[in-house]
Amino acid sequence: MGQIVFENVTKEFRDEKRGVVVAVNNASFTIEDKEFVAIVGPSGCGKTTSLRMIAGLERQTRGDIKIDGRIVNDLRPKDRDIAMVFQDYALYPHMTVYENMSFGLRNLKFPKAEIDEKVHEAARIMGIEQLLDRKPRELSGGQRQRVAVGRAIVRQPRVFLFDEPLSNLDAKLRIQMRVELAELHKRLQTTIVYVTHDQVEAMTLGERIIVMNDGIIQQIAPPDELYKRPRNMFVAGFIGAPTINTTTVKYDGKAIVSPDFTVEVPEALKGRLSSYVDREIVLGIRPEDIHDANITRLKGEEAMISPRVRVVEYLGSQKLAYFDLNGKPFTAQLPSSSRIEPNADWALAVDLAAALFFDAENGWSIVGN
Amino acid sequence: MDVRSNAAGKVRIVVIYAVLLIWVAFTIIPLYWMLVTSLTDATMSATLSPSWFPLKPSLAPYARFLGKSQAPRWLLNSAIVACAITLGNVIFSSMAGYAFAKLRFPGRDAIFWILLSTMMLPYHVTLIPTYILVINKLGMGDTYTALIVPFLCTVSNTFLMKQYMSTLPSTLIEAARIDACTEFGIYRKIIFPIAKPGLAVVAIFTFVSYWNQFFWPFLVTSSNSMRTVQVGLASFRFAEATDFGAMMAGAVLASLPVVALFFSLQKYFLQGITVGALKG
Repeated sequence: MGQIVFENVTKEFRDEKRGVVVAVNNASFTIEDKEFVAIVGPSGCGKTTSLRMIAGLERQTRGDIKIDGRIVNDLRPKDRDIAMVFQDYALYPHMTVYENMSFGLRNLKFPKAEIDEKVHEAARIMGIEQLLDRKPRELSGGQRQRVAVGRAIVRQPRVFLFDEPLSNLDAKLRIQMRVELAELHKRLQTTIVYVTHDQVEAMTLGERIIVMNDGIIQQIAPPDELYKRPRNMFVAGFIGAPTINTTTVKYDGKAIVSPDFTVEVPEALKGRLSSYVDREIVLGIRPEDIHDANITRLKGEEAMISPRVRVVEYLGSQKLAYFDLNGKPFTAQLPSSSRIEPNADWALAVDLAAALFFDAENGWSIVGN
Repeated sequence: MDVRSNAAGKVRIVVIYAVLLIWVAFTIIPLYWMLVTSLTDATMSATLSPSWFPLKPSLAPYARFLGKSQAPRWLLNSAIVACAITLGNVIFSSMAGYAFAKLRFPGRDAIFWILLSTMMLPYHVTLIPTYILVINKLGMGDTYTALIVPFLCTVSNTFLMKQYMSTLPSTLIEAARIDACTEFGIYRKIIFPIAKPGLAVVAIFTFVSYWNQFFWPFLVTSSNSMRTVQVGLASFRFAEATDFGAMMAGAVLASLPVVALFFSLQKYFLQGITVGALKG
């Protein structure tokens, strides 16, 4: 068991310079038992504060937090049956790996034999059995990371909390640990709340993702839904790499009109845009929805553009072409077979069927919900 | 250009070395004279023109110092007082420093600033009230309690420890809280062991300053057997006005622990100077 519920949780800090700062603003969500949920957002968005409130390291200003139906507002961290992996690992430097991993169990007065068994089992799962006698300073970054996770799993808690655990690792190790964490979740079948600022980590690990900005939850959804149907421009911009292209256009009832291109709106889209006739809307196009017109079979609904290509990046399996449209920087993600050249006008097709539309005034998705 | 700037650089270095050497000489000569006198026979040490080398080297002054007076007792008293105060400061100032650096409680900053402001008061301003409290009100005159208790936790050590503790990562404390450790357990099992370098600095500075302390023990002790070595040496001078040799022998013996401590723990002395300068 390990269900976590936030009910209208608000956390305010008093800051000498800025006065009262609302770190988390009226957040409500439910994380189901055994679910892997990633909380993602830019720094200062309130994601770590949310995690720390679950852990009991911060107390919310208003609202209730429940774990398995029980309100835990007044419970100390040790009574919440959670384990946490910190960004800096927080390994006790004067203790060996074995002592680090057994520290919690020793405090809980487990019998020695049981502690020994559990530590060795966790060490086996994490592949760190040969490191048990070492001190943290004798370990590499990746090994410390494993010990930190090992220390968390040895207690077999109801909930695991991860606070940006991979951010101190190099790129290669990060990908390796990401895969291991996903496997670990399958194996342990325990609720995991995973905080990260890296949307790729969130997308690859989270079964559902909570996107936060300025203390406010922007959207809670599975990765594909976040990507395909973002609720607002912030989510659309935060999720996806390279980032989504956006430009302000006008809808005149028949066509989308903009300085650099005008295109007839397909019938299927007209209904969705009906209340925006003669108003400004933001058109969002993912880089992979812009095609090289020379090598793609077109459906006839695409907006044809011929921008001057500034730069082309060759990434092996694909090419990224950078150009300006309506004065905004755009990126197109093309197959490597494309012969697109920099400093040339190139025919590109924008797939409007995949386009996202946002209210230019409030940034909310017009058709995303 | 190069030749000229090289020459200027050399002159600069020579001047700097010369100034430093003169300074070193001024510092060392009294100590050297102390050592020479302590090894010189009684009659010689009273001469008006002291020699640079002991003409008739002898350990007799040491024997006279240790044999004729209560000197061993004074040394023991000093050791007891300095060790007890050091132990008290290591424990209490680290606890206080930890609390000020890492625990959140109402009035924390205000209390800390009030404590800090007491450091601005000259020693003599607090001396008389402390004397009245310890001697007149509590009646502790001429006891170890009077020598030790007022200094068990000093503000400067608390400040030093607070600065040091601020540099320790808070996540260790939070990890320990999640690991079901009690608040005192966190201090004892996590903070105390990892604060050892900071504690070593506190221990050394405290030991040295209370081993060398003169005025307070001079005020609160009256019997010869309760004196610390510094006070004892002073009284020795009045009693045996002409025996400079024995007096200097006492001074050498009294400075030995401090000198030994300094040379064996030089690294920590230097750390003590930079503690708090890095972070916090």
